[in-house]
Amino acid sequence: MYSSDRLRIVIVGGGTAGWMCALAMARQLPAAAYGITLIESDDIGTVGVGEATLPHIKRFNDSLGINEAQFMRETRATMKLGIEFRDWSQPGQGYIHPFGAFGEPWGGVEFQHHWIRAQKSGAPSSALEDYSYSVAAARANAFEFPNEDKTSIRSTYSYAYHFDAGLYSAFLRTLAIEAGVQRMEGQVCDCAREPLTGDISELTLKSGARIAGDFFVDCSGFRALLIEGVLGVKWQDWTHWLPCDRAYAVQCERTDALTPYTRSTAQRAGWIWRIPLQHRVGNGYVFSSRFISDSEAQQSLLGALEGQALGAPRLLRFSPGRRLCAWSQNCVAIGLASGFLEPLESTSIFLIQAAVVDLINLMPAPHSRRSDPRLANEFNRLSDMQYDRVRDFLILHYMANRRFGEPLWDYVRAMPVPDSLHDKLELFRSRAALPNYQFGLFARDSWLAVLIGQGIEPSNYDRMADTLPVEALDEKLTAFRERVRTNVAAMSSHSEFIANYCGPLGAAASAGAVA
Amino acid sequence: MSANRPIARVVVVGSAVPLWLCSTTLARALGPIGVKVSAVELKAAQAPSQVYATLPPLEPFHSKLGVEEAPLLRSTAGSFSLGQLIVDGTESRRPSFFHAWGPYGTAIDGVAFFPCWLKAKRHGFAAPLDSFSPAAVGAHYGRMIRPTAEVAALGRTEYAYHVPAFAYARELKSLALTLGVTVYEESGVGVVRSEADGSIERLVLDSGRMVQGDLYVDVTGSAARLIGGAPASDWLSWQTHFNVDRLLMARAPRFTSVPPFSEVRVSRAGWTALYPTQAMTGVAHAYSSGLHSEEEAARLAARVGGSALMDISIQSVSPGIRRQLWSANCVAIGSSACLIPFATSAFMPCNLALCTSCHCSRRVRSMGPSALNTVGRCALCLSACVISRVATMPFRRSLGVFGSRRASMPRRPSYCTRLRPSAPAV
Repeated sequence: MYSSDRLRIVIVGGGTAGWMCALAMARQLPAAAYGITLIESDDIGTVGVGEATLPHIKRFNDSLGINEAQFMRETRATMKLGIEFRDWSQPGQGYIHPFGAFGEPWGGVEFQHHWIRAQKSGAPSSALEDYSYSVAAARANAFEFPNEDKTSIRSTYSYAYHFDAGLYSAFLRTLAIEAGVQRMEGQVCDCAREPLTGDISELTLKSGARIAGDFFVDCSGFRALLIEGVLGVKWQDWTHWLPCDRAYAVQCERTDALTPYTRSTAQRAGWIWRIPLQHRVGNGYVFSSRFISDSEAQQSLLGALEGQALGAPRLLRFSPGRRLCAWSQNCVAIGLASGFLEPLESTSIFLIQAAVVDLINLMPAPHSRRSDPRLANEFNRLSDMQYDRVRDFLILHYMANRRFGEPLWDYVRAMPVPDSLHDKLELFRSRAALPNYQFGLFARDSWLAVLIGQGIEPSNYDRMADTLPVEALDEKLTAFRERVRTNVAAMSSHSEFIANYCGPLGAAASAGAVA
Repeated sequence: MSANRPIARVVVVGSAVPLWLCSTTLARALGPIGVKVSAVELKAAQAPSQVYATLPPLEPFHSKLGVEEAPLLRSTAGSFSLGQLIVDGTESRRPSFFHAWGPYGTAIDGVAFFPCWLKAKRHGFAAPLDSFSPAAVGAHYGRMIRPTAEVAALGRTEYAYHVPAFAYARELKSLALTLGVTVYEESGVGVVRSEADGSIERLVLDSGRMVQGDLYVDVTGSAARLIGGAPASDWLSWQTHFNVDRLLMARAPRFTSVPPFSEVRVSRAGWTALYPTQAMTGVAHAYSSGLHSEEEAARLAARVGGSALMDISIQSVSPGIRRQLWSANCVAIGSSACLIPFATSAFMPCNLALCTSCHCSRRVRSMGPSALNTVGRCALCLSACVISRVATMPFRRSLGVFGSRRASMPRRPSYCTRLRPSAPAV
């Protein structure tokens, strides 16, 4: 039983979102003031989104004291240096969006201006990716931890993981229960609300058990049990900008290399992901039902697998968009209940993480009003900002394409884009200026990778770049490429790294014996 | 001018500090790649007693510009400032508070300092927030703190300056000449515009000379001699937020011991600021002409200043912002772009816009209108956001004070009254 001076937090849903939220709250909110209960049902499957992640997840895990090698071993994780986009700008062309820097600023001027100047000077120059240590490492299927020495080129990147999201939830669940989270098995079938305020006060399970709470977190996924089912908060639909609304997902055996990056290959009516784990490869075809039938999409996916399929493809239906307000009354939606954006840039788990951190920062105090609109407004402002920014970045991948004659790609190339994206594009086209957000996604180098990768050419650059003599620029560029090349050559391979650091215990021991 | 020719000539029109700060920045940044900078110096009536109270970003800006701190302060008789003391001079007598440059406290085990302090306070801990700001503590004891490794453990220390405007302009002008800026000293300027798009074709100076540029920078202050006639660049008034329309500037004798901060005293009709320097104390008094006559304003300023004032000048000010800061081939910087009649903020738009415009000056003509606007808005948002942080703090507290009936000024002790000005040197 909770004493009355504790704020009772009830989390509905035990997928990735639910357990990330439960564990972070249990570790970071004082136990004397907050009690946390999570309701989940073994009868309801989880979508298990986001097997590929962004580097922020490492900070999240670290802040919760999670041992990286143990976590990677238990979730069959591999390392991720970026995302490869094949055939996106046009068939036969590709690029990598790395989690790292391109070049370095010279004379107080950002690198892209120097590079574009070199491109425009007509002198023989080289591709943008030759100036990224992390792209070179990814192409070489190599991995090692970033160097602590900030002057070293080996420090100019960060990394994320590919992991089995189901195993990650289970891993977090164990830790959360140890940390004091009370887990309830069951399905929510009814909900009571305060007659005066409209706040949610109690949930009833199918078993008849009743759970009273002061604050509720809706992690029930697409079902959105509380935020939509009870509170009726509307959904803002973005299908006109992001037409993909379905996905087939299937696992297969791995026959290709253990790449330290995710791959996304553009298709006639969408794109196919490839996520390499230690023991298998995750695949999926994200497509628009307006442009291809389910059975054709399934055929395309199965035809693209590198090895034997492990099970039949699962169909997921979704609509891209977000909740009009993720925090309403005394309830906050996190994860798929609050918004959905296709996993093109591996943002699903990041968006959960950002929401959890914001919620902990804004959590109402015990004894205070449970539904404080001032806290809700701030949470919703932050949440909307994150979703809208990711949305713009995803749209960029679609709209800037030269895949002529394919109806989906012709549509997205011609569609009007949000003003917030349009202005950024124009500024880049005009003088290679990159968005510079103080918070949230994406960083300047990410924009650069995708803008250049999708074939957008700036007509000009920062004129201050001209203060560097052409010969000096040429020398600097050559020297930087050489630094990238020689340093990457000295790295260990990704598969060796995984086997030694976090592979199955038996395998690591036998590998050690052989060595 | 062809659509895609890079900008080769920039013409800056204005006077005093804004003109020279702008010209030197452009010449320093773009001179090395062959951009010619011309400065048309208009003989404007400059308030002889004006003191610029700056904000901390001026220090790194100066060092990029090549302005050395010690020689500048020596030759201008300027001084350091660690923040500003805000004193409520109305009968409500709310407690005074110090707005320090730099942070208050440092994070404790990854938790921001302020919530920790709030919690401690709730548990009876009595030390005021100020006592965790190196700048505020330094100011309280009349000591200057310069950032060192030792002090850094207590939080970043930032500082700004009080610089007499006349001498500061002189120093910057000589730097401009060194940097190869062509200077035209004129009494007036006429603008010839293209009929097609309202862009500036040339300037006709009162001496009869003609000056042409690819880009024109308007630092003529509220007169807005260039941008004022540009299309869609009208002035959006902020009179409702800043209910003052006159600015009196004067000088008082120097303090015996020069305090390293300014004092702003809020009164019924506006505010009065004291900016101590090595040579004198600058007095700025902003007020609403509907509430005070010029004589009353001068009397009030003298009472706050603590002695008879000299070199009194009064100008009218119109708080607000220009709708388009960049219109065709003309950019507004300084108070022709945005005017906030509050103590230190007046200088900030100039400083910020300069940083942005140096990076933006390439081939302006080739930019679409929306991109131009983005650049303009970007500069605007930056200044507005910094300014609002500076300006709203004291004003929020005093909003109710303005606009009501006149009342006599109660006297309150403050740091500045403790540090009385010395008798004029004989």
